[in-house]
Amino acid sequence: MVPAPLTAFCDGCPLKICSVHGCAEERLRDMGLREGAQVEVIQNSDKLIVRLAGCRIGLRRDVAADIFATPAEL
Amino acid sequence: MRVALCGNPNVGKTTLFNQLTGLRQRVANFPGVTVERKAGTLAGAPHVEVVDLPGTYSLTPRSIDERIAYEVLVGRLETEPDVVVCVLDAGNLERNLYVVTQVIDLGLPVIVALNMMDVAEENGLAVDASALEKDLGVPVVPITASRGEGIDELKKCILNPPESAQVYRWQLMDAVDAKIPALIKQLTEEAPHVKPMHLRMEVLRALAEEEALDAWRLEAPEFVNCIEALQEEFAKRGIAWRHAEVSGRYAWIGPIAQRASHRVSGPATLSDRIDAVFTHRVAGPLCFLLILVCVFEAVFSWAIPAMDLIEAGVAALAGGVRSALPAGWVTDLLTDGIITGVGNVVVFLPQILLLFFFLGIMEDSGYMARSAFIMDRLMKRVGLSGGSVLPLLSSYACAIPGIMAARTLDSERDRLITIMVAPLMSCSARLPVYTLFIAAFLPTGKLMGVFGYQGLAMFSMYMMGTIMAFVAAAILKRLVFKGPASYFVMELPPYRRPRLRQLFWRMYQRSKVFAIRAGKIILGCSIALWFLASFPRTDTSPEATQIEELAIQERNREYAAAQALAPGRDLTVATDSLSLVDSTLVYALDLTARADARYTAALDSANIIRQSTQIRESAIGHLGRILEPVMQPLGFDWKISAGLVSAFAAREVIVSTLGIIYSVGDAEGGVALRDALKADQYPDGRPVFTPLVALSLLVFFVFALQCMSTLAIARRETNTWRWPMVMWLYMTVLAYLASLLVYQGGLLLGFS
Ligand SMILES: Nc1nc2c(ncn2[C@@H]2O[C@H](COP(=O)(O)OP(=O)(O)OP(=O)(O)O)[C@@H](O)[C@H]2O)c(=O)[nH]1
Ligand SMILES: [Mg+2]
Repeated sequence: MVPAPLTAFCDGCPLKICSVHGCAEERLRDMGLREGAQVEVIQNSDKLIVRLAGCRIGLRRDVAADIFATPAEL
Repeated sequence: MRVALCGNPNVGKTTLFNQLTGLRQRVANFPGVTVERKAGTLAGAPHVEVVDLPGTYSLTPRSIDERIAYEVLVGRLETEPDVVVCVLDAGNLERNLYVVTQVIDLGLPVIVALNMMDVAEENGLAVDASALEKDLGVPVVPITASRGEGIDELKKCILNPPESAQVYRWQLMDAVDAKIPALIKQLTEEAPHVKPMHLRMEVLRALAEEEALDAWRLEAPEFVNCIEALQEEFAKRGIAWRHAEVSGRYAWIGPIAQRASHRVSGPATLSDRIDAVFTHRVAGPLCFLLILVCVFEAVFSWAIPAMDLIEAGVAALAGGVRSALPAGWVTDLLTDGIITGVGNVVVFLPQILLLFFFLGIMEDSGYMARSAFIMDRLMKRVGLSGGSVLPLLSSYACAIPGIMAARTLDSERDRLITIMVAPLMSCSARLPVYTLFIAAFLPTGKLMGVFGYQGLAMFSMYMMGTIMAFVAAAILKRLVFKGPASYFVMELPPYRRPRLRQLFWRMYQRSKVFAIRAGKIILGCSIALWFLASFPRTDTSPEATQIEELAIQERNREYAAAQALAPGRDLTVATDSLSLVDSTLVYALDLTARADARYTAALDSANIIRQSTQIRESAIGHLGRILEPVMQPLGFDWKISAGLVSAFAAREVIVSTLGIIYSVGDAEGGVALRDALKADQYPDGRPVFTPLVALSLLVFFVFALQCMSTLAIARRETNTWRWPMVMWLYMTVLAYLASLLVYQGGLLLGFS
């Protein structure tokens, strides 16, 4: 499946991140939002909340739009 | 021996530090609490120095607090630590291990402290410390820092530190790995001062980060050329060089984390359910506003009984001292100066404690991070990010920690703007001023039976400052610090039950700070102000003397008239010993009694005039009256002007000043300052304080920067006097103009 930005996923989907871009990319990788990480979008409105392993990360929409992911096969 | 504590933000480093050293550094439930290096000695082992560091996600610093952690670890601030204790959140091993691998690669001995074991257990997460120990090759100690569990084992481990573990056990992708030796060689040639242990790290970082590469441009141009050529080559070959290091490290720690803990991705946790409301795009901001209104309402109304008690105590103390000591200027200094000056400020302690109580609950519960998340939308509009909300909200307590908390911001521009506007957030030193004038001039009723007008007025004071901070930020962003809006990424910690002991400790600390402030600054100011208000002595007041002389003449005249009615009779004897049948005599006696009453009244008013002449002609009176022409357009008389000047020592001092001015100028004494304010009149009978004047003064205090310490800390954090000066100037002009607008606008609208 073609990767889509995180903003395109509905609440609660398990995802696998394919690529990270944009001005915050290094910060995001430091925080664990890196290529290959398993995440879950738990809130998707004007901002996003993403669950990553044991933590929640709040993102501004434009930052999340630079993170591309595909649904993770279980 | 030096031990450094490092790890991700909000994993409990400071909690552990406090356990190890017995100190009480600030702990709260949001990332970025610690922004400085803090040191202490290990309890029971004074030769071991423990250093607490700001949290960091990696050893590539992106903000000032992370830079501090980085510089301590690589030995740039001081010699490298002898042991590094990496604190991990057991519930989030994989991400937390990332920085551990980087510290191991620095070649330092590492001990892993696996914290929050209680939370992991509660969530049904089994964490296998010994598996982790075997895989990582460093000692791993499971602990629960908040309850002190496992601390002894950790101490033992620190006292018998391990050897450095093997570095670079993870695999860089082959294509990139092959190029590293040549780059290391190049860098050694051009920059021989780089420690051999750090060479590989520097090369990897220069490869992945533009900024790190730029930093070498002057010193090692050839190295930079090599890297740039390599990046081009990789790009052509389609090699993902930018995240080669990240991927390599995770490829190593992913399986390790997997083996050590069995992740349960259960149903939505409690935190998620609470977040569904608190971070909702509509409900979230509403909740936030409601919480703030309730906090300020409570700060205002709950404190009243305690404040009344203190007020009564201070008055009783002043009365007691006055009656116990002989009259004289020393007694006056004690009662009118020290007790009144300090007492008038101490009265506000209950409110300040309540404010800290509520801020503490917000910080410890995890709501603070949510407020940053909620406010991001607004902050984006003014060109900042949600990250600035945390420093701004801590400025409600005091601008100094607020300005320091700005260190956590990734963007230097955002940091400067945040520092510049933080003093507009109403700090607790303004609270006494707000309360005094709101309590004196606003009705006590309730809106819709719930929110008291006075509490709402207090809330609006805070809002006025906050909104102005946003406006100022927007203007600064447009005019001075131009540039695109920065990004916003923030970890939202789980909600936790606030720990009361911690909360009360912080409140106790705060009262200590407050007491010290009251004891030093305010006591000193009070004494100085009393002298300024009482000297030079003006015992002669022509006006009062004239009144007295007139009164004596009048009394003599009336006595003579009465004597004429009852010739030969003694009018000084008491009435009841005489026969009441003699009506002319009774009438004459009545006349003299009334003459006496008028005489005493005249003497009293002469006395009041003499007292107020004293105050007006005193040093502080002269100072106030010099300023009066400038302050008159704002509705301030000379007393308020003098108070404003004194408020530059500390904002609360204006309360002491007014208290002293009124009690030195008050023959009776013991009137609450509130009532004295309301009763004060200009010579022509107009009241000095109308609600409009009070409002104008409040507005002045919302905006004015009357705090030396804020200027000093801004100087330290920006490293130049330029920004603090700009800050002072714009806030003073703003305060003056806003007050002018309020007062003159109010007059035009027909208020008085
Ligand atoms: N349940 C539980 N909570 C803990 C434990 N250790 C720390 N906490 C809580 O975690 C929060 C963060 O603790 P801090 O000590 O401030 O964390 P820190 O790592 O110093 O954070 P920064 O200074 O922001 O990097 C606080 O609310 C602590 O009460 C623990 O072992 N168990
Ligand atoms: Mg800390």
